Amino acid sequence: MVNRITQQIINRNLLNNIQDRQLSLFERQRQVSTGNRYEQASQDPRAASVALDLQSAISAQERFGENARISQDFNLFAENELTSAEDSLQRVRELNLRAANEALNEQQISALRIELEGLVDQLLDSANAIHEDRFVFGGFQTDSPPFVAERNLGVRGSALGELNLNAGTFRTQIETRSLTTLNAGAFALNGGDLYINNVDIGSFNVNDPGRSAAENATTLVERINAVTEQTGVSARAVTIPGGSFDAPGGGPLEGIALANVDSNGQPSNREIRVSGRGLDGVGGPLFRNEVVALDHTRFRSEQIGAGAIGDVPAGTVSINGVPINSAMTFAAGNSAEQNAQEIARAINTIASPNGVRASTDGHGYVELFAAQPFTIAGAPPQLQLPNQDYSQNFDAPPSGGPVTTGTALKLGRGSLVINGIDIFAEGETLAAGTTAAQRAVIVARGINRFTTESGISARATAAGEVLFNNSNTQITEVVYRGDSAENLSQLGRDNLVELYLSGDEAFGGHQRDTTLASAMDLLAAGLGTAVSTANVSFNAGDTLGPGDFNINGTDILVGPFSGVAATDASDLINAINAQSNVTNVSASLNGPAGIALNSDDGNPIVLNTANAGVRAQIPAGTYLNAIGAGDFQINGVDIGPLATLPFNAGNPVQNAQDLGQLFVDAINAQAGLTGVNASLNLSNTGSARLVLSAPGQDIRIDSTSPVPNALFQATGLSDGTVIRQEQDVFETVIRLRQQVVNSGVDRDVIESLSLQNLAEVSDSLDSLVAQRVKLGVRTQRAELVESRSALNAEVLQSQLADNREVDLSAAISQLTQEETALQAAFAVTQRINNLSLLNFI
Amino acid sequence: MRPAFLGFNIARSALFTHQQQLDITGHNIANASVEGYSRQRLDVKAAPDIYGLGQQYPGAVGGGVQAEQLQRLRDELLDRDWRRHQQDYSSQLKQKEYLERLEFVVGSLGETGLQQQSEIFFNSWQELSQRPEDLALRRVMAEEAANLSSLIRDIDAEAAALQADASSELRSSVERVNQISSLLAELNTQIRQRSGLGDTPADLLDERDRLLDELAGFARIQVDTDDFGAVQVQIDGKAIVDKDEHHDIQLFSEPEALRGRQPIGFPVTLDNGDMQINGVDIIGSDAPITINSPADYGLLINQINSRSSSTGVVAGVDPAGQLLLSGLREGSSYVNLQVNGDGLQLSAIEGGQYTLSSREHLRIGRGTYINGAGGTLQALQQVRNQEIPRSMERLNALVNDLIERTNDIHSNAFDLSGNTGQPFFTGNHPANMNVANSLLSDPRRIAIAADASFPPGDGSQARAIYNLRNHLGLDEDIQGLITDLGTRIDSLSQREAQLELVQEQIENQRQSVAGVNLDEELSRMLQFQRAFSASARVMNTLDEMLNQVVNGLGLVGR
Repeated sequence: MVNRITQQIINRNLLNNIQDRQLSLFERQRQVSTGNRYEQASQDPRAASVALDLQSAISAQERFGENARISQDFNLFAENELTSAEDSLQRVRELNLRAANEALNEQQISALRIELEGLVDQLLDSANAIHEDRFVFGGFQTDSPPFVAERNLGVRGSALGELNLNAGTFRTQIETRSLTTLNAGAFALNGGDLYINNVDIGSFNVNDPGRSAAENATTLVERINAVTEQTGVSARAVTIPGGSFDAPGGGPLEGIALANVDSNGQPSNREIRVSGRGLDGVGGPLFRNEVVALDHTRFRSEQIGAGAIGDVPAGTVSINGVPINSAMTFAAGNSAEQNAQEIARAINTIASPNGVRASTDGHGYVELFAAQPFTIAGAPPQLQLPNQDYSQNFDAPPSGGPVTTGTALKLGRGSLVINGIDIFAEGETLAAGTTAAQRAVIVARGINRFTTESGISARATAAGEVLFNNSNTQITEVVYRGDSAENLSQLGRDNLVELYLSGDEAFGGHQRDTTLASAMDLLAAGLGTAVSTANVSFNAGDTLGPGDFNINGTDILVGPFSGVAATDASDLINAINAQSNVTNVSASLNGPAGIALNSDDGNPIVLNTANAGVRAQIPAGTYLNAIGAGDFQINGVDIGPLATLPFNAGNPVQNAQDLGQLFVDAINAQAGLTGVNASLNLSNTGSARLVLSAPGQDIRIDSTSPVPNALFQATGLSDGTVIRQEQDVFETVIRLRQQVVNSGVDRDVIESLSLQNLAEVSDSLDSLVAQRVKLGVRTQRAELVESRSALNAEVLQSQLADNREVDLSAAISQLTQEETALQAAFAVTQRINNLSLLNFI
Repeated sequence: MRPAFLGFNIARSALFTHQQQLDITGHNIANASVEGYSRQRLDVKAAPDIYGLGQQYPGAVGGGVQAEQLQRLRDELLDRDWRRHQQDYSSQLKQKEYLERLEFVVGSLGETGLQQQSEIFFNSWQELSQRPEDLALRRVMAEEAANLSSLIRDIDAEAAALQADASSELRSSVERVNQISSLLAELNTQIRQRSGLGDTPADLLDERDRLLDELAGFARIQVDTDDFGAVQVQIDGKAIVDKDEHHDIQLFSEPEALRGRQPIGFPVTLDNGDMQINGVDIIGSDAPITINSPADYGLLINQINSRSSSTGVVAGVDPAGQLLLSGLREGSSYVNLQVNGDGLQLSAIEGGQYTLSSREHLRIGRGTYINGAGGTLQALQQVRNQEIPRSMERLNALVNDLIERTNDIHSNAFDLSGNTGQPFFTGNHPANMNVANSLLSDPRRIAIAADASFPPGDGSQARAIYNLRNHLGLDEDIQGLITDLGTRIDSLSQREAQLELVQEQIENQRQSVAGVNLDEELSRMLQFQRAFSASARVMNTLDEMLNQVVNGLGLVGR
């Protein structure tokens, strides 16, 4: 304590006090003006660390809320589209019902067909819906229409050999590519230089020497696309790998690809005819004068792998016997597309001798084009080019040559089906002795009768070949070009919801495998009845006490035994059967003096033995009922009888997996008949389940076993399970349309076909509804998260406010207090300084 | 026999003494508001009976008053106490000052803070993951990433600048300390001379105490006074002032280096990419470089040093032949070392992310280091050598993590044209982090598709990058960086406030002893004035008495 005061002490203390007061006044004033209790973490580190947590939690909640809103938007949109698709399908169903129930005349059938076609278009509109500039049902492929209506040529039938036609679906969209790139620099196109399908592309001049080849290509593409309505040809700029087709070896070039399309941008079958005086490209003419038509061989590879997939030395691959004398090298950092371009480049080095041209589609697929069939040999697997003749099923020409001649040829129902339309349903006979040309004329005439329905017209050549043309009207197939991927939206740290729905899931059931998995983990047990391995060998006087012979937890108490095997066996059997109502296990004689245990309810038998119980000669263990003939059927095909499997007590995990493998092998052995493949799904704890999958068909499980639960206990699959293949909506409608046409006015035929279709349409409708409901559930979930996030964010905000913000009224009243205190300090200072002895002497 | 003029002497002593007392009072009043002034008092005592008169007369008469010694009222214990606390106080204050500046840069809680920016960065990835084909969103995301990068670069630059500030303040502080110690040595000489003469050089002592007070702010000093009044001053047990000598403190900077675990290996042949420092290939087109013997070490050193301008790293070899890598920046530098192939054998340094900080040391002469100087000197060292580097290292670690993990995902993903292998961030530490230029100029090149066919709607990898936020623990790291700094400052300010109070108390006590109270001095002045007058009156009376004796005696009956 200070016991002597000086002026300096007084003054310093006064100043210190004033300083303190001013400091707190300043601090309070800062709080009031900013509204924050602290600005820096150091002013209140404990509160600040909480505040930082709160802030990041708030930002996460706000983000989740925003995500939930987006996913609602997206899913709701998809849901609406599915609803309108549902309406269209509902209409299909009505039409279907009408066809099944009413007698229709030819005119009505034609109206039905036309309406069904309209409905396909409506469904297409829904399936290709655009939201926020992206195709909703395309999976990750959001920049191009996911569902493409193909107007293809489908050839089937029982008389193809005689007619010398190739079976298959022949794609009608064709593409031709420029031979070289455009020149860079000034660019001039004069009238008459370039005709496409006899339409003059016109003239234009760009007098800018600085233009790149790519810019010139873009300009020309725009010009060509401006007249697509007239030409039926659309163009796009492409990169031609490894130089031009005819002058290979250079770097990638900017060229042009022409494709035939209809006015909606969908594939069409009009041929592409390029003519004119010609345009110069780098090292040669841009296009040759040519007609590209349906009868060309085309092949699209599987997707090439990315990265270093393994170099291919020169001379390894040959096309039509001509070796590719250019090595293909694949660098580690390459994308699939870059690798595809490398393959295409190498193939194009021999384009001129054999006429096979390669290009890539921009997504890592190699495409081959040729006017003639060709053969590839020596190609290693990474090139995805099968070593085979490319003539038959790889978009070869439909016609294999002249129609055969000789004896009379009867063409009946199903002998030639073009695009699902049965051409000779009413019967036709090609008389003996007619020439190939005469026969071809008859065939072509038959085909042309149904041009409206099939969209295909035919003509006969003098050599007796039938050639096809597409009148460009019928949608024969709707192909899904999207993928199965869906972007996910984060609704919580571990709460994800899908955005949109991929098209194959929404519309295209045929894209997806049907799967069925075991409903429980496979048991670690032996497969096959528990039987004595030898005659029982009890000694005279042996008694089975508690724990000596225990079935499913129940002790079998019997004895003393006589020592005569046959008597002892029957004693034991009687004892076991006396407990059957408890154990659900019954016993029977096996061999002269052995015992077999049978499960009455299909549950596994757990047998424990000790002491004299061992002499029953049944190994202790867990047993599943044997699977005999008829016990296990998939799609009506018997999988059994299956070999027995001993119980492996030492390694239960291995035991369960061995059991699983036994089933998998047996099921896969019948895959050819059932169409169902099996695999094991192993969890990380080692437990195993069976997974059955079937591409594009139902899975049905049946069992004729008299023991009710036996199959389920062994496999986890239940008798009577049916997993229906989801119906592809477009396929269903198109098939219905074709069948309506095929039926003609035959009442019986139309009725049976319609009934068959009705099931499919109903299935389609069901699956569509299921998908819509799924979207609805998602929307609801997102809605819930949105409101919860908003609430959470609000609560957190108020916590943050409590933590960070000042109570203004309290702060202001304190501010006033502090002002008063400061004034008081000033007053005191003045008064104290006035006191001095000086005033009194 | 009693001397006739004894009374005169007594009166004269009184007059002189009171005059001197008045002078001293005047001096005290004059210095009343001088900082560090100690009030002075004259010790007076009654002069003894020098003539032994007491033997003849009953009752002794003293010889009047006598000034003994000038007394300087000051409590050395309080001084010691004050100085001990002063070094602590100023140390806390200085550290707080610097850390607050650092916090201002790193720990902003507002919209522009590190945490907010990183949240915006991650959220924009997530936004993008839902609309992957949206070019505008891609552009926004790239811009947000660029903002985050530039904020981190700013933080790094500010931290480095702060480090440089601390260095230069440390330098000027050391200069002032040296100046004080030379003044103290001079004062020691003067004081010794004066007190040798039996004098009390009060004002010189005050001056010395003032200097010692100032010095106590810079360092924890130990002051010992010898018999002749000279002080010896020690810092960390090392004398900086001893009698009339003083020793200058020197500042000495020691760079931190990455050192190879063993000598540079040979024979080794280095190829492209075997050694990369801060993303720069050291060998580059000069490959291969072969080290066959220690004589070839220079090849490698030259190779590294020729790229110093882009790597910011210089190399050397220690006498044992071990490789040394150190940063070029004053203060802290970042070194990202990648060694492949024979690189590791060569460098004997594991690849990784390092933060190297040079250290400033204090020493007297060669080899006598001052560790733990205390006061602002140590505070500045602490800030410069440890506090700021610690934050920078944490920032470096989290930034490096962010860059590596983001790049890992981004360079394995595909952009809208199917390109892959493009890293998202360039650079590998806070000072050079940025978004790859090509991504900023062409948002199509931002790669977020996992599928090799690069479908435009695939945003899965953007979500993967968003998820880094949780898996990296980036939030926690940033929060830790901010709150740890805040907590440190808070504890410094609490300690500082506490010490301020203590200092206030001690100072008051010091003032209570040494300070001048004007009222007291005034009253003393009155006292001495009266005493002086009384003494004069005594003188007068004596005079009259003497007059009576001289002029009035022998005239009886006249």
